[in-house]
Amino acid sequence: MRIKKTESDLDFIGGLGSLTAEEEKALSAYFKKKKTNSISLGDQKKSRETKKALLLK
Amino acid sequence: MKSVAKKNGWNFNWRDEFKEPERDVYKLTIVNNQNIIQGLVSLEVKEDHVYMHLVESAPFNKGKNKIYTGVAGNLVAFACKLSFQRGHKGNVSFLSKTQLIEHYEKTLGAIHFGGRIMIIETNTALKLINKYFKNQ
Repeated sequence: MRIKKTESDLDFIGGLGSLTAEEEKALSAYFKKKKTNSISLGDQKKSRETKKALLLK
Repeated sequence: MKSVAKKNGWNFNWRDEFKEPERDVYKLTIVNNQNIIQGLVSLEVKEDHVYMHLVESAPFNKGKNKIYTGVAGNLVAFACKLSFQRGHKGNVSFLSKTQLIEHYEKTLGAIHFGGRIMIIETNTALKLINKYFKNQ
């Protein structure tokens, strides 16, 4: 498929309308999962640090 | 804003974009001339990321003979910045035609999420912000 010359540079994005309800749902689930993962990783680190502090006492 | 019309070489209907209450349209100008619009972006802050409805360089900033390069990249970096400011960790999404997916991957570092969805995540967002906003 040939790309129009005007589209070969990064001159514009979009024009395809809004996200559909399904797309919204998929993105939301992905970002939520990502957020949860980063929180749980943070908790694990905190837990390790607490454990370390307790061991030092 | 009167000059922003299809008859003047703009691809999208920005007047309609202004009418959408949940979207904000931002313009890019140069420091010494804030009357001339170099590019426009339409953004919507979602629950967990920023969605880019439209990005467009001004007609004189398109193609081989463009006056300024990086206008669209600059506007995308702004979307990433807004995403951080709203607590969304730089996450941005937009829709792409199939034949442009690879192009956006290369030029922006965007990731093909699936279907027609592209996303920009934290690390890439930081890179774009550092590239276009390094003096701020």
